[in-house]
Amino acid sequence: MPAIARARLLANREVAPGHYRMDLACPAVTEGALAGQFCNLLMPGWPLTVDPLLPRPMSYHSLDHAAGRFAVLFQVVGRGTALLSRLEPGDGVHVVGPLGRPFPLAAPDPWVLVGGGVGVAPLLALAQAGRARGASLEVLVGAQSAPRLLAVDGFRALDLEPRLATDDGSAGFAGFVTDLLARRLADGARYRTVFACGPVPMLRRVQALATDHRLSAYLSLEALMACGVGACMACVRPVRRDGEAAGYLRLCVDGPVVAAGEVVFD
Amino acid sequence: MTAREVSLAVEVGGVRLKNPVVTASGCAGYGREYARFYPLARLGAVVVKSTTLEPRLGNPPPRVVETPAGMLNSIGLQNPGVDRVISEEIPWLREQGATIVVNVAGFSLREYAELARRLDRVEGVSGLELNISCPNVERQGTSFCTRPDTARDVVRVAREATGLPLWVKLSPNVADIGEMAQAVAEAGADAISLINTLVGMAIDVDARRPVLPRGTGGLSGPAIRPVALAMVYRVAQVVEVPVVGMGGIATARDALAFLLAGASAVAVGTASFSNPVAAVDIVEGIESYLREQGFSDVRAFVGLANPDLRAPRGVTPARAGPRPGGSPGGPAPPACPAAETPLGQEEGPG
Ligand SMILES: Cc1cc2nc3c(=O)[nH]c(=O)nc-3n(C[C@H](O)[C@H](O)[C@H](O)COP(=O)(O)OP(=O)(O)OC[C@H]3O[C@@H](n4cnc5c(N)ncnc54)[C@H](O)[C@@H]3O)c2cc1C
Ligand SMILES: Cc1cc2nc3c(=O)[nH]c(=O)nc-3n(C[C@H](O)[C@H](O)[C@H](O)COP(=O)(O)O)c2cc1C
Ligand SMILES: Cc1cc2nc3c(=O)[nH]c(=O)nc-3n(C[C@H](O)[C@H](O)[C@H](O)COP(=O)(O)O)c2cc1C
Ligand code: FES
Repeated sequence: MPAIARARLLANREVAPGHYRMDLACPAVTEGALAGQFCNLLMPGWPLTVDPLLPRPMSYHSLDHAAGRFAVLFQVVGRGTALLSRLEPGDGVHVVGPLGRPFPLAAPDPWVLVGGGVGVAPLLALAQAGRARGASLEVLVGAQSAPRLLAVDGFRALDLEPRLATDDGSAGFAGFVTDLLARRLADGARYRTVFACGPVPMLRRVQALATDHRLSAYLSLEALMACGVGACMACVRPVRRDGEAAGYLRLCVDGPVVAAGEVVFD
Repeated sequence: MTAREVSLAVEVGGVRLKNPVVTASGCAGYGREYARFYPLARLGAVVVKSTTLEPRLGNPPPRVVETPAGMLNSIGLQNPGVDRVISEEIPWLREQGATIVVNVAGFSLREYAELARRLDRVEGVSGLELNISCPNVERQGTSFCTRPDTARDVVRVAREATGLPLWVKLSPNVADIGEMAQAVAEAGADAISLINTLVGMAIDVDARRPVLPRGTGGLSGPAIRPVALAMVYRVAQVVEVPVVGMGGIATARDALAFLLAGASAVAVGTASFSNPVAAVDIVEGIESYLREQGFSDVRAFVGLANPDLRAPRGVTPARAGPRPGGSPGGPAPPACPAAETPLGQEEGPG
């Protein structure tokens, strides 16, 4: 059951240029939260300020259920994220969560987690959960350049050594993270499930690779949202089932994680 | 000192509400989502998403865009169709103990009549709200809500098809909201709800095209509150039927302003998106404000800022109570004092 609660900000650090990791204490929206789900961060000044108005959906990046703490990892792209980036330890932030569908933790392993840019955000929480259930997993992290590689330390803290890819070759594999995935598959890596989050061109490529290699695959998608709880019909995305158009999913309740085979990229 | 009881109950055109706060159509679906945050029976009523005769897929995404202190929507009336609403949604809402007002939208007079007929004897439905902002396919897609005569026609055919209380929801996108209100009241509206969304647009500068695929969308949220308030104030001066006010209401004080302007009840829409419990907070806030200010009945507060209120002050105009099910050719609608006209736009918002 989602809750609305005031979270206390523990830390808000710029972990890469224009990217922040915000740690929050809030048992009510941490309890029961699963990797792949998201929360709605309400704008600073809530409920008195009305501009910006709408909540900012953010994936759970790290979950500590025992301590009632979680983190989000976000990129500053506009006014709302700029405001969030300026919050300081001790500030309050109102949060609604947990929302949406998680990654299916029962998916067969070995897993490969593929993150592009800030799309790495939900994959750390997934790696935490995978570790906890003893899944065998590998992590591929991509970014434009070395300074923008995100959450690498977080994965290392789980004793995972992520494989890196940069568009400019400044760290790890030179090329897109999906090229790295293709390379790993060509080299005989035996994955059974792919979990991916990142920009649309990346997800489209993951979908194609998963089809070619007969892997089950789950993508975490984004949409412009309003309510985040399924009430307003804003966040729809066309899907197909058995090759046929199957109407719209509300990404906030039927996603954001969707089986790759159902996703239609236009 | 014991806190004095404040009576929050109001009757809006034959629909009894335990308090004057309802959901705005399209902003709370069929209630299921917000039932995870609060018991729906806490509200005066749940006004459901606009329901059409046939299921509708709605518009392609993106469907919303944030704007200064507001948002544009272009949902395109996505809904499962009236039959599924009757078989699945209304029974569920009844189980929650919610008072149910079904918002309906048609694309022809025949559809409005058919919707009213199908919902007429459905158990648990306390009233209908006519969303008349839809394009009229029989008249080149001009919206029913933009002209007094077409708005009047919608109310008339619905009136003939059902004995249920009829709220008629007006669009602000008209030259004279008072004229629309009068037209629908004369045609048999039991209450008038306003405002629906204002036509608006956002353009993506870098992409050099409108953000919403259909170009325009419906503007809602705090940005429209002053417009809504002025229209409620005006309509309350020209019609005697009760008014349900909405548009950017986010706090109890916002709601109180609408009551003062002459609304007998208020609807909460966009505010729920950033505060899922906004409607309940508003019920509680109204109650505590009235108690503090020494009011024992919310009805005595209605219209206090509007000296030229048309309805008798302090009382919600009563109607004869729910009429017996109106089949076509049934009892003629009572000469109801006021009505308004809905708003409409092309197939845009909602
Ligand atoms: C389920 C979900 C999970 C997300 N998780 C993360 C995350 O972990 N880290 C992260 O950095 N970003 C994430 N995003 C994207 C994030 O919500 C947007 O970047 C953010 O809302 C932008 O707000 P803004 O005010 O800075 O941008 P503006 O462009 O000024 O925002 C204007 C409006 O558009 C919306 N918006 C803008 N970009 C997006 C987008 N990409 N997706 C959805 N809505 C958008 C905003 O919420 C706001 O309503 C997620 C989006 C979704 C739907
Ligand atoms: C047009 C375009 C095409 C892209 N194609 C791919 C791709 O095929 N595979 C991939 O892994 N990433 C792809 N990317 C993502 C970039 O490599 C980069 O990871 C992404 O933009 C995230 O970086 P940022 O969020 O820090 O800007 C593409 C990006 C753009 C803009
Ligand atoms: C996402 C969204 C969907 C809506 N759908 C409908 C609808 O289906 N039928 C309707 O009559 N009004 C619809 N409306 C209009 C609202 O009911 C209300 O009249 C308007 O939004 C103003 O109130 P607000 O500012 O509190 O949201 C919708 C509004 C929004 C924001
Ligand atoms: S954002 Fe409202 S239904 Fe998904």
